[in-house]
Amino acid sequence: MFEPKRLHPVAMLVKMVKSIKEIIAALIVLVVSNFGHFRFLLIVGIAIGAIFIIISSILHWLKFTYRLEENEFRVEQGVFLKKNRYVPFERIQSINISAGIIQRLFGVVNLKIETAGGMGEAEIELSAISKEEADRIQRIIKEQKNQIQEESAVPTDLQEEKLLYKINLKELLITAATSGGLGVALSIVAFLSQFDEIIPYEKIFEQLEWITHASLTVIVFACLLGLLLAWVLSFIGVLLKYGDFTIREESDQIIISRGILEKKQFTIPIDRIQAIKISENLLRQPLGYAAVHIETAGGRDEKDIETVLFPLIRKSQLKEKIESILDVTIQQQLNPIPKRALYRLWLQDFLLGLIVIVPLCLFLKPWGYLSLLLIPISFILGYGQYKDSGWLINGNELTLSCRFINKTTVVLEKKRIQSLKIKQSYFQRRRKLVSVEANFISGSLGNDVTVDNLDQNDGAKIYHWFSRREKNVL
Amino acid sequence: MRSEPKNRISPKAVVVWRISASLISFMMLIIFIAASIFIWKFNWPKWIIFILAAVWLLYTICSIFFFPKIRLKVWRYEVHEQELDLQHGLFSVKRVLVPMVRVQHVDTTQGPLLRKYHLATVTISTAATVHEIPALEMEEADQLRDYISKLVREAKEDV
Repeated sequence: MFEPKRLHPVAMLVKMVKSIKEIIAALIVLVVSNFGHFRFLLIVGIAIGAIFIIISSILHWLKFTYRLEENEFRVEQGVFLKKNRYVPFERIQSINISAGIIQRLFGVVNLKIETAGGMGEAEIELSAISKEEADRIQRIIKEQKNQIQEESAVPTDLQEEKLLYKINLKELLITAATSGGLGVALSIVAFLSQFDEIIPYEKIFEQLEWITHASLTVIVFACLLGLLLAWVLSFIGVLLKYGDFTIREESDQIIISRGILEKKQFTIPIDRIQAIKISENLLRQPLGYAAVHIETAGGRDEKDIETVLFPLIRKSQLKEKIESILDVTIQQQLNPIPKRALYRLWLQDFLLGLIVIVPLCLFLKPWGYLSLLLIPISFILGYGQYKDSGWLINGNELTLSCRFINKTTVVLEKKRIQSLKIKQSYFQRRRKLVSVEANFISGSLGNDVTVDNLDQNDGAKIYHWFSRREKNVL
Repeated sequence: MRSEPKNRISPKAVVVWRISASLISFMMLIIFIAASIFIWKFNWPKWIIFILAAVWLLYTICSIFFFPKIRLKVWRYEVHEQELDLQHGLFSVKRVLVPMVRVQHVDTTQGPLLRKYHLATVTISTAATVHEIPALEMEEADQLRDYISKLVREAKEDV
């Protein structure tokens, strides 16, 4: 336990790859610019650089040692400049084990030790150690930490890690097959827009001779092939990303790990969870599936993150599964928005559609008329937006659901809502409708959820529920 | 909904907003002229220029003469022990509640234009959002900032 140890020799390789990664951009520029008769110099330069990287990687490995001693994690490193870093066990906040492609090839892991706060610098990374060694370090630190805590008279019950969920093959395949929903739709749109550019209409009339049925078939075929390719790529991407997805629970945190080629692990303290997001895209909703994300606020120096809790879950199991992990109530039935909102949504979507339709019909005759198909689509979408909007207050929890294209449901605790906004436009006022926006801490771009066109009185109910003033001023 | 928050912002806000709207409008005019020259040179349809001109004119008139007045009329705020109550908006009226326990810091800021008119803006930040009460008299803004800051320190979670 006390003797200083070196990393697994693979660490040299990891270091080399890292160094090459850092200079790769400069390297590419050099090679591409292809100095003509300076080529010899270039080769010499690269050779020197390569030797330097190899030697420095070896030295780095030779001089890097770590040991667990006197309740501290001690690392000594540095070839010319010695750097020692001692981290007391009780300061260690999390130990993350991951494995990149190189590590996986050699069956080793990367171990990262993170401390709370500490100006970002106090962090240790062991880039290659054996899995057993990683387990050993983890065990020792955990035991020692518990001992320290017991000595300071804070008894904690040693809770064992519990497996809560593991993705099965069927779920993984459905996740992969249905995740590209928006991507596929986007690539259709992108392709169609190019279609307009490739075949401007005046030119077609001028050059009708060369537009034969054959070339049109070719274009359509290429289009379908492109879509299929995009879908296959996204399918493989999702398989690699969510393969081996597991959720484990350990005292007050859940540990999510995923990934086939590159393993990723997230440790999430349950009391830092800000919001739960349930999203159903167009492909998954009809099949009765949803995805669940959680928003977590980081500590002082950490980032807020958005993590997938369930890549795919049957809607019928949603309530049971989420509630078994987190302390929330998932509502099956929300309060609807009033019927008069439907006419507003229809009008909005119709007008939005017209912005696309009118110029297309005016300037791109025959083909532009295809855009008229957007009219029925906008009515179907409007109905979906109406049906899938809802709200519910349950004790200290607010559930809001809405749809732009995909349906999103967000469950928020009152104390996690950073601010609440009730909006009413002129047209909404005439129909006695309001929009409700709740803001929360989020790792992704959107930090709010907005539900449009609630009944004015329902909006007031949410407002009063959130207000911390005397409740008698109604 | 509850009755409107009590306090209004300084009526001088209208002047400040008008000046900044004029500046923006002027910049847009320069862009418009550049675009027109471009369109003229490359023999694009001339009606585009007329449409752009009409849009610019409409925007300028609205943003200088009408919008500031409406915004001033709608703007209200009130500070309660447990929360901030704001109301603002132009086309749609927004009513915002910010609980004191969620406020992270309060600042006053002042650009050259506001300084000239002896005004300041109070900025209230939570972990996820930033809210502004624009154009208060400087003394009022400073007092408000200190008062909110005091309430924030005293506020306790109620749930």
